[in-house]
Amino acid sequence: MKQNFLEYSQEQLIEEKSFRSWALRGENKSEWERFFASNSDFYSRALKAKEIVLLLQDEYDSLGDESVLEIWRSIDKYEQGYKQKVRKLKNRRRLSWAASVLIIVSLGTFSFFYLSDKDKKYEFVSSSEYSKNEARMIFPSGEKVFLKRNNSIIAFNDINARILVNDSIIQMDETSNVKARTIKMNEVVIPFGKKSELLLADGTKVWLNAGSRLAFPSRFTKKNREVYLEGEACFQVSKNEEHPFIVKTGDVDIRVLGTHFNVSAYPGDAKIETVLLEGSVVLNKPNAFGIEKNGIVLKPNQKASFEKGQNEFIVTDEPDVDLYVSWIYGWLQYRRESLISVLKKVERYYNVQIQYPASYPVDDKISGKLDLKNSLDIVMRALADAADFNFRIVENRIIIEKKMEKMHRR
Amino acid sequence: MKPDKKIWDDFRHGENYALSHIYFQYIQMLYRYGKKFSQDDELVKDVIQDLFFDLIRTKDNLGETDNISFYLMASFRRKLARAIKQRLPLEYSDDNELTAEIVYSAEHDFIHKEVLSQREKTIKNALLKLTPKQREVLFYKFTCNFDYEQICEIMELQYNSARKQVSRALKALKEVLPPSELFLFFTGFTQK
Repeated sequence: MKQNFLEYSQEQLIEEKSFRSWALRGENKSEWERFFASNSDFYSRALKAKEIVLLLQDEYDSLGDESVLEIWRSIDKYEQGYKQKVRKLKNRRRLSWAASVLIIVSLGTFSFFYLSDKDKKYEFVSSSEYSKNEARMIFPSGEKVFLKRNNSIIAFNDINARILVNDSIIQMDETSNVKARTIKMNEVVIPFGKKSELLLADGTKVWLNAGSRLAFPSRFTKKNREVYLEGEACFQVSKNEEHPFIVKTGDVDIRVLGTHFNVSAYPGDAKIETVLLEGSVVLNKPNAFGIEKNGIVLKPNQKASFEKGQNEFIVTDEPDVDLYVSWIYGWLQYRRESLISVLKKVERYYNVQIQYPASYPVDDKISGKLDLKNSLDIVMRALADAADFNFRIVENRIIIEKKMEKMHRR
Repeated sequence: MKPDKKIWDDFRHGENYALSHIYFQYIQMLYRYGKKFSQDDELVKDVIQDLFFDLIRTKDNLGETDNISFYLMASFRRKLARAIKQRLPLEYSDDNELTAEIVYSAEHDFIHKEVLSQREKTIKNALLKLTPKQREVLFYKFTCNFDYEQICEIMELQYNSARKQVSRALKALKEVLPPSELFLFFTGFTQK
């Protein structure tokens, strides 16, 4: 304690920040108490000063959690829209060397993770049943939280160790976190027909598409920031060169130093696709010994396809990478994409099964844009117009039929 | 905990974490502050949202700061003044002074009490003598820990007048307040 405090008037004491911290919050309590004990005159002055400090506390309202999140959602949406606009401008001016990366990876036939020995293989705790069930989040403790909305928002707030899930707030268990140094993972499971936005503890933003799972720690404590993905996600990674961010999809590791990218890795798709919007990433095939060789460096506006059968990457230029992230904004946009690929996406978004005759030319290329906020019927009608087929919706199934060439029923 | 300067620079340079960090860190303070000027919840929330929209849009042109709280509150106050003025009927709009209505917890308690002790009455009268302007200065000084220069800047006061307001207010409180109940404080303190 500073000796010259003894000379202070009450007013000066009140103006002293460390004194107010003691008066209001009891900071450095024992130090102050020792100081008072040896200066009793000063103590009576200090008490009156404390009284004034306490008296000047204002009465105030707090903003409810629901409003806090509501405002955040609109700010976040605004930022995303703004970034997209800026990105488009930059692309037009051929200035695509921005600071962040956006990748899309779409993962194909993939049944289990065979990661390097060090990491062991990660197995999802949650069930991979995507067609039923609600979107849910599973904590390392095994506790489950259901995400009721069709588009949930989850934010890990490192400042006060809280998790915001839509409108509710979950306090992270601090003590169990410290003990659990083994990096226990949280898992988020998004069934077909839903999507979700996550804000990880390091500020990395993840959009998780329908029929996807993501495992990630509450806090990143290891050298590498590692997450595990099954399905499709778009990542906007916080830059931190000392702690590279790695998305593991089993067949491909995507290593980023601070970028924004989208990964689509669905079991049942034949390939893993990574599309980069900004920045740069390195793609690797992890082998059984954990040695990563032949890394492929992806540049903005490029797509890397990894065909599991061929076991190699094919890199192509993509003139309009924003197509690949249109799902974030609730759109499904496609340009010269095969009908089957579009139908598969519709299946996932609406949680339905689509059937078509064996002879149907599902590889025909189509282009267009669908608003996923519309009902299934409207979306299917738009598709049917473009691809020229008839369809029936029977409960959870859509049955596609060829149009009869010469029979005009209408 | 990262220093304000680093977080602010990270935000200006487009680091992803910074916006949400700043938002969740300061949202409650901004709301608490905004409600001093308007009871209209929606207005306060709208202006907070606008403030962040502005930050996003003008990110590349933002200046440096080592006090995010001050930066946000100063811009917030300007925006709020404009928004409130816009909603006022024309005949009042000449008066462009923004008046904060700061109520102290003690006063709030007195309102809900049926009978006040002599001591409470004295305190109540002492607080009543504080003008809205004085209260606002005291709020910045003691709740926000701003320095006098910042207070003058945010309230558009002349240099030194903030300091005068504070010392005048403290002096008045000190004189009017009855001797504190020393004994009570003491026992509370020794028992810890």
